[in-house]
Formats: sequence, structure tokens, C-alpha cells
Amino acid sequence: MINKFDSKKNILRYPALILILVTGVLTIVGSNGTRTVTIAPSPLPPKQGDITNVRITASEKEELSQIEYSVNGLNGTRPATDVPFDVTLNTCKSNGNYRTTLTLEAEATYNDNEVRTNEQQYDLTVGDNLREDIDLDYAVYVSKGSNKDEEVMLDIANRFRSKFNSYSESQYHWSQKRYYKDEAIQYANSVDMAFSIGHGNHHYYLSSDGELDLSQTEFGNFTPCNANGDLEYLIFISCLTLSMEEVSATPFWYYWFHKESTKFTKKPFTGLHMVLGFRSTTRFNSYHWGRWRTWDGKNFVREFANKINSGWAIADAWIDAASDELKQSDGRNLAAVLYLREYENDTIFTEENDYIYGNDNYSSPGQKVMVYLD
Amino acid sequence: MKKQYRVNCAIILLISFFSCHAEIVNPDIKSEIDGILKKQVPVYQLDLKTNEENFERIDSWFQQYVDLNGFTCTYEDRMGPVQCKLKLSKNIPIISTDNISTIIRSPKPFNIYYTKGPRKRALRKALWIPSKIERSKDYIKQLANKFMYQYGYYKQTNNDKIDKAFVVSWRTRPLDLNIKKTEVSTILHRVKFSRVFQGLEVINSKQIVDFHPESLELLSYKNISWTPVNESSGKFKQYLTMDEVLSQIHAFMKEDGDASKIKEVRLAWYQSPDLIFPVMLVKTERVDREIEIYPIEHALVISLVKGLRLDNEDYAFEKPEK
Repeated sequence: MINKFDSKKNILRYPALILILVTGVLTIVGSNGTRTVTIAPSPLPPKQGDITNVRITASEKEELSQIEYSVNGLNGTRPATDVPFDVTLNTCKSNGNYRTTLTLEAEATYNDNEVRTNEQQYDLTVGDNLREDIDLDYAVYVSKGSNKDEEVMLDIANRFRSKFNSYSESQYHWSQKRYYKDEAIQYANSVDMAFSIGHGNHHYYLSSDGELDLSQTEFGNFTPCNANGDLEYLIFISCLTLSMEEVSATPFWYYWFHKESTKFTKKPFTGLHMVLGFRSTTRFNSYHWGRWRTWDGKNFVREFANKINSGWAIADAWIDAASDELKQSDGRNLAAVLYLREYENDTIFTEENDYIYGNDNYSSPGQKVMVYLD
Repeated sequence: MKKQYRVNCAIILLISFFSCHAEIVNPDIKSEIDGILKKQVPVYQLDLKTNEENFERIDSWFQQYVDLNGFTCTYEDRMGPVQCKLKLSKNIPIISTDNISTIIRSPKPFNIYYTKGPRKRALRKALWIPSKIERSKDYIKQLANKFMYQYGYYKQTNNDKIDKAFVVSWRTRPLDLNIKKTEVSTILHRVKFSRVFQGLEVINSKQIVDFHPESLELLSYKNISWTPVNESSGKFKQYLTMDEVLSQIHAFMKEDGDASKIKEVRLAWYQSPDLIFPVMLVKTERVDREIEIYPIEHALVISLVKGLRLDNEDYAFEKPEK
């Protein structure tokens, strides 16, 4: 006589029996401790600048009485018939509103008076790298100018484009102020690296359509509201953009980084990793061969591109290429890099999260750094 | 009548051409340019064999410290330099002088780079250990000079010499929003040597030596476009004429209007991949006082030899479409 349950073959003859057994086990476990209340924020992980949707739900809805919830202090109660439901929270900064954490709480009460709770807390000052566009790309913006200036700038821009091969080029445009401001999310803040060339001054860049006050811009993963900016490296080949001079007793870095009193306003470092530029005027050697060209300006960007392509730390590559290829003997061409210390050793292949004011990597003493030629 | 009209137009054009030149190039500068053009100097071939020997000595010297076989290398392009990189977890100091005091310990692994190109050797230890110690420029120049003469990677001749040493330092400064003046540290002191050939600067030749400010160990040595000259190879080539030189200066300066004036013109050399040839450096300075947005300044370099350009790099030259 053959035992019906001794072989796999025989078990497969009784699928209905197996289903009954499994369902029974699940029912017993569920009513004895697997009731759950779930809080699921989206997008995930949340960051400041999101319109966060929080979906709240609970298991065994037929046994559920109600759910009480709190989303960053916004409290409410919903009957079982509403479950699942969504609560929306705007974490974009605005005057008087600068969210650094997202605290979510939900408490489900069942008809048999059993209570289930769930609490979650997220740090909104971290912009997870996974929230960014996965393409590694760069933009090149050139300012229109007089014939000679323009040809020399194009010469430099084209040399960089011909040598930098680690990212793909997604934009090559005449610079416009809107690329850095209102439409940044389609332009400078949509790429990983923005390379700009033109005239400049203390925290200013002259785009083709006028002066751009960079202290009124913001770049990085946290901006604009309800989107994911991408920019990590902002490069200016221009005079004085990274000048270290005080302006009316205001230190230069106040124009670039947030502090408590400016956190509601715009500043470039809103997830941005690094600004590369010059703290002095710049001077390149030019010559005419069919058009205006420069050999040292071109050598500088060629060397910078080669170094970052081969894995040099970006800040190191910028300073080294400038001091190798450009003359500093008359006080010009003093390259500088402004960054958060977290990114000091970053290569263009490093994947790092973004940070804003309020995060230790941004706000703690010693986290903001300038490296420069002197 | 028609012919007379053409002649008049031509005369007016010539007058305006020379009057523009006269405005931009004053008589003193013009006289200096004339002197430069009259002092015709030859074009020389580079001594590539001696250069190779020099580079072999540099490679051997460097090999004493780090095994070049351990490097990962990438080629810039088919003819370009080879960029090599090695990650080290322990600093092996390159002691260039007797003055080394302490050995810098790196808290984390760091990269060492070596670039080998036809006219380039560049060693660099990317050791960023900032120090509060600051050395005087004179002291750093002394160390660099000692290194250059002691190791002798470049044999000087009566005509071809190391010239000035210029010191530029890499600084770092934490920016604390509550403190206006934060403490400055030094990452390295860099000495850039310029070169003179027959008493004139070779504008693109350089040798570079970096020192750590605290340990004084050598962090970089670079030899860039500093190739020995075959001094018996000099040949006189056709020079540009005065009008051709003035025309370039005019084209260079006309867009600036009254905003800039010529500060200096002088004769110099430029080293191309195969030759060393005469160029004229025209330095200008801005004279408009109230600049709000600073233009990138340019110094004009004119190849004085017909048909010789300052680089032979070819790449796509495109203007943005929008």
C-alpha cells in the first residue's frame, strides 16, 4: 500500500487541500499579530523641495475602525472606509518654511480595540544621488562678445569639448541668464557639469544677454520645487567670479552658501558640490591663424579635461592645470575652487548625495572650503 | 573719371589704415617693433635625441621611488601623452634636499600621477595635507634651485639656461560663516622656472617643482616643452613685414577702442613640437577705470616667421547653434 502523502507526486494531486491549509495558517497569524499600518512617502527617499505624497494604509481593512495620522505635525483621523488614503505635504522652502525632517506617524485602531502604530523619520537635508537623472552629461555655454573675444572663447570651449569624454555633451549654447535662473532645470541644473566661459566679476558672470548675479541662483538636487536638479560642478572661465574680496564688509562666501538668515532665499549651493573658477582676472595668450586662438588657454582646458578623464580629483585637476599652463607671475590666472569638504576628493565618476544648509556636511564648522592659488 | 575715383578711394583707405595704426601703435612702440624685425633671428631644430636621454634619466630617477610597472595608464590620443595613475596607501617621501624634517603621513590612500609625452614628463603626488607652516618664497626658491642643479635633468649651455623662478602657493581656507577671517593653510609651494635661449624667454617652456611646506619633501617635478635645442641647426626664414605685424596688432586692439593700450613689445621664442622659433609678445593693459564686468584679457603673440603657427592642434571648431 502506498502512503498518499509520501511523495511529491502525490502532494501535487491535492492542490485544493494545500490552498486551504495555507489560507488557514495566514488567517491565524494575521489575527494574532500581523496587522500592520503602512506609511509610504513618495518620492522616496524624500528631500526638501518635494511635494511629498504620503500613502497611509492598514491591513485587515474589514476589521479596521479608524486611522489617526500625523505628517510633520499635520494631524487627522480617517475612518476605515477611506483607507488607503493620501496626505500631501509641500516640503519646498518658502519664507518662514524650511523643512529639515519629515516625521510620519500613523495609528490604526481595530474593532477589537487592537492598536497598531508606525513611525518614520526622514532627513530632508540629504538629496539621495539616486533621485538624480542617471545620465552623466555636461553643458557648455559661451558668451557672445566682440569678434576676438568670442573666437578665443570658442577656441577654449571647443578644445574642452574635444577632450572631455567622460560625460556626454547634452548642450552647447550661447549663454543666457535664464539657463542659470528661471529655466535652470532645463539647462544648467539639468546636467552634471556646466562649463561657462565669458567675462566676469565678483560672484558675477556675463552671459550673452547680460549680467548674471550668481548669488541669486540655486543649483543641485533640492531645486526647483517638485523637481530634481542635477548639477554638481559649476565651472566659470571668467575673471574674478570666485573673488575672495570682502564686499562692504561681507565675506565672499556669503554670496555662495546659505546661513541661517538666508536659508529661505536663493544661493548657488543648494545641493551643488563645487564651483571652479578664478579669483583674479584672467589673461590668455592669443594669436591669429585664420581666426583668433589661444594656446595657453587651450592647453589649460585640455589638461583639465585629460586629468579628470583619467580620474584626478576635480579640485586638484583644476588648480594643477591652471598653475601648470597659465602664468600667475603678474597676479592673474589665480584659479580657485569653492566646495563642501565632503567632495574634496571627488572625481567625475564619484557618486555622492547632495546636502543643504542644516545638514552637518554643510553647516558644521570647517565643511565649506576654498582652495586657491596665491 | 571712374579710374580716378578708384585711386582716390584707395588713397583714402590707405590713409585710414595707417592712421588707425598710428593711433594704436605710437611711434616709440613702432620703433621697438622695427628693431625686433631688423634683428632677424633663425629658427632652430630641437635636439630630440638629447631630450630622450634626459627623459630616460627622469624616468630612472622616478623609478627609484615608485615602480612604474604598477601604474594604470590611459592614452590621451594616438600621439598624445600617456597619463598614468597609482594609488598608494603609504607615503614614500621623495627627498630632494637635505632639509627634509618630518615625513608626511597620509591618513588615507592618495594618488600618484606620472605623465609621459613626447615633450613632457610630469610626476605629481596628489598629497593634500595642509599645513599651518609657511615657508618664505626665497627659501623655497633656494630648495628648488638646489634640486634643479643637483639632479641635472636638463643640461644648461651658454645659450640655453634656466631663468627666473616664480613661486605660487596652493592655499586652503575653511569658510566658517561666523568668522570673517579663517585660518589659511598651505597645501604646497610650487616653483615655476622659466627658460631663456640666447637671452630671450622661451614663452611656453617650464619646469615645475612642488614642495610640501612642512616636510619639504618633493611633491612634483614637471618638465614641459623644455626640449634642448640643436644649436647648430639655425636657419633664417622669411619674417613677417612691418605692415603684416601692424595689421595683426591693429586687428587685435581695434575692438578695445580706447580701453587698452600697448604696454610692452618684446622678442621671445616659442617651442613647437619640433622647432624653436621667434615670436613677438605684445602686452596690453586696460586703461578704462570703471570696469564693472571684467573681460578676459589677452596678450598677443605673433609668430614672426611666415607659415609657422603657434600650435598645430586640430579639432572641430563649432559655434553654438542657439
